[in-house]
Amino acid sequence: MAQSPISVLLVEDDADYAESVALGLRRPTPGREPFSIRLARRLTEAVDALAAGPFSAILTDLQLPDATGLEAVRALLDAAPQTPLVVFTNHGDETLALDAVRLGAQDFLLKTEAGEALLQRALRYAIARREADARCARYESEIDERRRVDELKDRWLGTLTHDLRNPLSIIKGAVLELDEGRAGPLNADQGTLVALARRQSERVERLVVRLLDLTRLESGRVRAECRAMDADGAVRLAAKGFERAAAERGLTLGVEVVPGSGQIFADPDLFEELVVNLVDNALRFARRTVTVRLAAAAEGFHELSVTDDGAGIPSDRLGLLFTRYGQLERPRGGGGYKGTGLGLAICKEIADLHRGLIQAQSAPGKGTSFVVRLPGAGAKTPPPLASAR
Amino acid sequence: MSENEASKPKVVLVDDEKDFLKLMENWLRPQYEVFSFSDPEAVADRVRALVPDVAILDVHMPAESGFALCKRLRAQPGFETLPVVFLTGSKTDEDFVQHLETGGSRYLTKPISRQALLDALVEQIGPSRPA
Repeated sequence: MAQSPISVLLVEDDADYAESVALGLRRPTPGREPFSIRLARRLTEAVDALAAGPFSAILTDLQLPDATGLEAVRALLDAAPQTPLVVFTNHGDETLALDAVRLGAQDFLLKTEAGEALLQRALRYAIARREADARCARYESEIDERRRVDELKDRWLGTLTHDLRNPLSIIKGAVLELDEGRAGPLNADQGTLVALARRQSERVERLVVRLLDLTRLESGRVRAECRAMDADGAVRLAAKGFERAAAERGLTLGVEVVPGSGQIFADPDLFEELVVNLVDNALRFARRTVTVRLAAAAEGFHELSVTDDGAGIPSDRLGLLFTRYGQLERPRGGGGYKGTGLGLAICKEIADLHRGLIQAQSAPGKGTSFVVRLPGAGAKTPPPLASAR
Repeated sequence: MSENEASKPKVVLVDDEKDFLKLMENWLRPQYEVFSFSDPEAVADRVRALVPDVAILDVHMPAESGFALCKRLRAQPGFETLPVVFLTGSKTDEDFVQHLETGGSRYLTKPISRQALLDALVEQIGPSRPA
């Protein structure tokens, strides 16, 4: 099948040189598109030709009767900004040729060296490079656009969550009135139905509150109000709050504190939120035990780990674990997972706010350990955690 | 109106969200005499005859903000020292500052629980006698 030719606008006032270039370009190369040449002897003629129809490439001398040097380059780039431009230059004119490339020309060729193979190759490369540049620019603007849409979606999600909260609190308030008997006694069936409505509205409320927490943390508006605090006491208090939930599921919740690991430099409220989220998460996946451990780490850091003996997480699922999308990769249904899927993303944000580190260490069948490294009062930068097993 | 009813403290509630008004009425009725308004425009005229003990005003209402309504109420003789509780869904500092400037007595954020609202009223006007 005949390939459609590469149309070249050759701008050259020296008729003999133009003829030799045209000859070189017209010589067929097997398997490659042929060249078709349109000659312009002056800049004005070239600009008219560009106005009349598109070319695949422009090949121009820098010394023309009606324009010289960069003036010609500028005029041609103005006339056809998308068309790759290659300039001829003479010995001694290399600086000028480089200036032309800086202005937007794709390449330059020394007239004395421009044999037919080099000419053909330079033009084909110039066209390919121009196409690659155009693709790059397209991708860049696509990335910018997607980033903008992403930000809009985040903002939309924040607003939506915020707007959900008030009607939800009214529903919950009304159901509480019924459930706590303030609107009169309920019969057994009514009581069951009202209790389930209460449980489920509380569940949606937890989700909404977590989403708002995460949105707030991600927005960068939250500052950690760090001070020296007793991690030991905070961990024990948070764990105590889960005693009943653990017992109801037949799980043992243990707290181990290695002596000397008590004082950390953290925001007490955020630290509590961190511990609560990690323990809550571990209790959902544990088979028999959850262990919360607090120990001193190198360079004045402290390490909090929360370990369950659950099914573990395959390594290919660890990547999204600390994002709000982590839950998307979690098997639903069978396991009875009823979390919001946002707890670990919240933990990551809290660890970041403390210039700390959080990491999951897990393998299928081996349980999961979440390790958080937080600074003690004197620490400067966090030491690296061991890589995931 | 029973004698019992007449002796209850009077609370004026203003919120454009009618369902939330109903819920607050349910919360407060056992201990307070409640007058609800979903339209802030109507409040200033009606409130003179009511002689309330406390007003609970939503901050963000389309017709008029709770702050503006509070200023209008305060401009009426006899209402200069009425305890005013503001309820807002936003937790911005600007709202808090405006509440102080407008002479609010208490600033509460939504969502709010029954107990938190009742506690705030007790703080403002003292415990009410149970009905």
